[in-house]
Amino acid sequence: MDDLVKIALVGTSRNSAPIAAGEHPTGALVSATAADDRETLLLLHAGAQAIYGLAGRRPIAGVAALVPAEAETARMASRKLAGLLANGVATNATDLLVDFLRQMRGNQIVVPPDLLPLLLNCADVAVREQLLPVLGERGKWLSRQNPAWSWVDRGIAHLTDTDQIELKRAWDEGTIAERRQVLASLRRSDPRRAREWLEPTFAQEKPAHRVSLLEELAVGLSAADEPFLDGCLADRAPSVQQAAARLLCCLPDSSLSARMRARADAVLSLETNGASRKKAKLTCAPPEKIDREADRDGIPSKAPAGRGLKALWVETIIGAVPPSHWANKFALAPAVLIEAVYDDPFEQAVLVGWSEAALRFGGADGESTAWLTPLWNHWAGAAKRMKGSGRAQALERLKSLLPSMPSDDAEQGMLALFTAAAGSDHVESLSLLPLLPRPWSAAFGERFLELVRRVLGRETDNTAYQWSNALFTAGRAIPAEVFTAAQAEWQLASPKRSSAWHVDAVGREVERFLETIQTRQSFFAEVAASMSTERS
Amino acid sequence: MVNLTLEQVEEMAPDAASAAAGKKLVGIKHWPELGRSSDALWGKCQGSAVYQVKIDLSNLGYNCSCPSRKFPCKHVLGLLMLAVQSPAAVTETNSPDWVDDWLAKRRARDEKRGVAEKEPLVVASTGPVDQKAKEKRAEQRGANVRDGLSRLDLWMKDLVRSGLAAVETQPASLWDEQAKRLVDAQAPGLASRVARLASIPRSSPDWVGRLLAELGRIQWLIHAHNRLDALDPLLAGDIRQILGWNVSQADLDQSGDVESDRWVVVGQWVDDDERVRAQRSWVVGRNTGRWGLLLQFSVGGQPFPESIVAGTEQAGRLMFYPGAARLRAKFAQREGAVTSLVDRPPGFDTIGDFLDHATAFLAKQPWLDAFGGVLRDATLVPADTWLLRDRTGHALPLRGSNHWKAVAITGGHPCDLAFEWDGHCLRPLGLVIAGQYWSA
Repeated sequence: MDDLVKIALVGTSRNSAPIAAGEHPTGALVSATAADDRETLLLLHAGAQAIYGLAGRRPIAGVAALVPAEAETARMASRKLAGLLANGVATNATDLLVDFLRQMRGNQIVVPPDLLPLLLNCADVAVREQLLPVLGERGKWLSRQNPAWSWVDRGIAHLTDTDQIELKRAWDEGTIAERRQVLASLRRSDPRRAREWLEPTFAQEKPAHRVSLLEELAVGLSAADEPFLDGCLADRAPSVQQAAARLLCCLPDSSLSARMRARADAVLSLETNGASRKKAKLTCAPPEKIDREADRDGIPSKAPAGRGLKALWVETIIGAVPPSHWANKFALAPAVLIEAVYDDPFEQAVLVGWSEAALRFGGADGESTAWLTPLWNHWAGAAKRMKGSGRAQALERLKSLLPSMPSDDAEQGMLALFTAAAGSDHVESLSLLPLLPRPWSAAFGERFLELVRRVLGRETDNTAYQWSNALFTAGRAIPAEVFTAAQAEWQLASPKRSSAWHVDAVGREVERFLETIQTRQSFFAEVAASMSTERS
Repeated sequence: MVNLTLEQVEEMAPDAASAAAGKKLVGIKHWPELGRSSDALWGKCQGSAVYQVKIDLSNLGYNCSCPSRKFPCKHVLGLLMLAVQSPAAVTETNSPDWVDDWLAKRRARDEKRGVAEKEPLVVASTGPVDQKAKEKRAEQRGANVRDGLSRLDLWMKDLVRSGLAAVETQPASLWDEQAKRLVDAQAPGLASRVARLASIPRSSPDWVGRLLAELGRIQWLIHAHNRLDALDPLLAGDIRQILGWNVSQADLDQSGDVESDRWVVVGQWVDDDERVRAQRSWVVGRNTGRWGLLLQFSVGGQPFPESIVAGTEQAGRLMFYPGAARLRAKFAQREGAVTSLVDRPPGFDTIGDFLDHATAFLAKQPWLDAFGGVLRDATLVPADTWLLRDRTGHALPLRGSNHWKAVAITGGHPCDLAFEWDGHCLRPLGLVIAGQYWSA
């Protein structure tokens, strides 16, 4: 056949080799056709040999099979559950999917095998986080068969030797995005080695890449990283210095942390009115200028247009020190200290610094976490009092604090905002709602639905429309206990002539909300049913 | 009792949107009236109007009074899903008149077709004038086809004279143009065979060899057609079918090859080439172990004439088309209800056994290019080229590179896998594991 292909490739007009079957058993068949032109002969030989080859096709031998998955020990989702899950994937309803998976996890039901490829392909971090515990034996096994799903193993197991070889190759040859990912994976299992990979070539990277690679060191950060990060403080690029400083101040025993604490202590001082400590007063005294060392520690020497340089220094310095430091130093509660800084010329800068510090250190130390709620209360008060850019800034702070707050406090805080809101102010408060940790508590869910019902029963204008929009979030966030309350009949205000559009839109939002509740309810019911059949 | 799985009902949907719309109708609140008997399943669905939905359980024929142009429409799908998911919601009762009337009409039509099948002469004896005109048309078509084939012969010679390397830079319209000429020459079967060649150039490192092989097989087809009268009549019939002659009902009746068995639909796929959708379903008889290919065509979004669902089985008589290989078939009669697989499907224990089976067919009809089969205790092996492995460690390559759903379902454990083999790679169609059928 190879000889025939050679002739056919260049054409019979250019290759004048004789067209013959050689020893091929089909040769006689072609001779019997009495074809005489070279082209027909070529085609007939090729066709006969092709069919001959097809008829004699042998399989590949000695193929090894996969080592099969272990038997599933957990409960398997029913087909109905599978159908509802598949709908969630197909309609790209990420929040519903997260809710479903969370519900399955709570009842130790694992994902049905046929949906595993779809779900493992989901790139959404929230879905992945909920998916990990419900993958079951089958899902973990499957993820090991396809390199695209290695994120499962990165989360749940150490890197094997072959993984390391693969990572090293990606590290040496990959794009910056791939290299970041390698660094992140390796940091999770072996932080020291990750740093050792980074060090030799770090200085040759572009400044922007140096910053992005440094940021990956936040995972698995320890005192062992200090010498390298200290070295980065001498970097030519201010952005790299600042990134290194941000990491160093998260190490409580680093020398940068000590320097920052000393600077902060010089900035904030407590005055007590005579002997009575009833009315504490904090005074902020920013440095007049910063020295070379401070500059090296990531304290900016230039402010962006429109920002005061000294205020920026205060924010940076206070933001680099755990807020618990102040409560200990002055032996006063966070709320008292917050009030003590009021009316200082640098009040705003100190509070911004504390808010950033509370977020930065809140995860690691409980005493700093205790600052989140008092700070929230401060910014909520400011949002209520102020107008314009001050109000916008306060709302930004509320937005950043909300996801880290203990969920009870967060819900309380949101309720307080809603009840305090008047006129069109609540629109901004409603925009915080999606950030509230989910699922909501039953008490908050009920209370919130009451508020929505009150507005929708009364208003027909844009206010009603804005509140009905919040039902989108509520439909995904309220817990099962509130479903009945949510499904009670909705009394909507009857339209005035001018607002028919709004009333229609509100009606549609309520309809969608009820559909979502219905879908979740059937999912929850099916989970419960799987549990009871298991038991019987 | 509707003995199907939810997945099988979804597979019946013409598109994903219809399946999703059907799912929304599963709630019992959409169905003010619902019922089933031993023959039928019916319901009234509250949409923008009240629609009457009827399903014939003996062959999954359906009808809905809604104006939708999707077949089956969402109401039919919703009713089937509801009956599958919550059988208790559909109570057995006497069918209302509107269901009885529809069933009676269907039965009458089937009977009429049955009579026609038994007495082909009724159709043939419509008068001497018609008969003469028919013969003349057939003669004319024969001449057209002969012309078309000799032009194709010249073109192929040109192709190999100037060299297949030149094909690499040619647009796909090179093949389309020849295919169109063959359609004009009334050889539509050969036309689509030529059109399919367009996918070969540059598709693999050995594409020149593959293209030459296919051109060679077409050359043999031309050669065989030139001496059609000297051939075995059955093989001659095959060649006429490959070129594009339809087999008339009368021919089918005369061929008389009817097999009674319990037929398992092991797998199915739809070949969609924009104009025509061809549904290919592979069936195997539980008792005879005989294989058949049920082909149905649909043009312009019309439904396929019959509901054939992968992973189901039904007793009945299958009529095999005349030919040397006798692979293509159609239902002459269905008996009893359609049910999901009741047991593992018949199949081959090793790939060697299957290849021997395919070779036996190829020896009878050398232009065959698709062989259905089931490999028992098969496992999938993911790799750059995926493999299907039998229990002895022998394997054949799989078509495509995403068979993760099948791997996930089997967990690497052996399953019975249905496929279609084209001589180069296997197209997985469905698999059975732990008594459950899954489309692949």
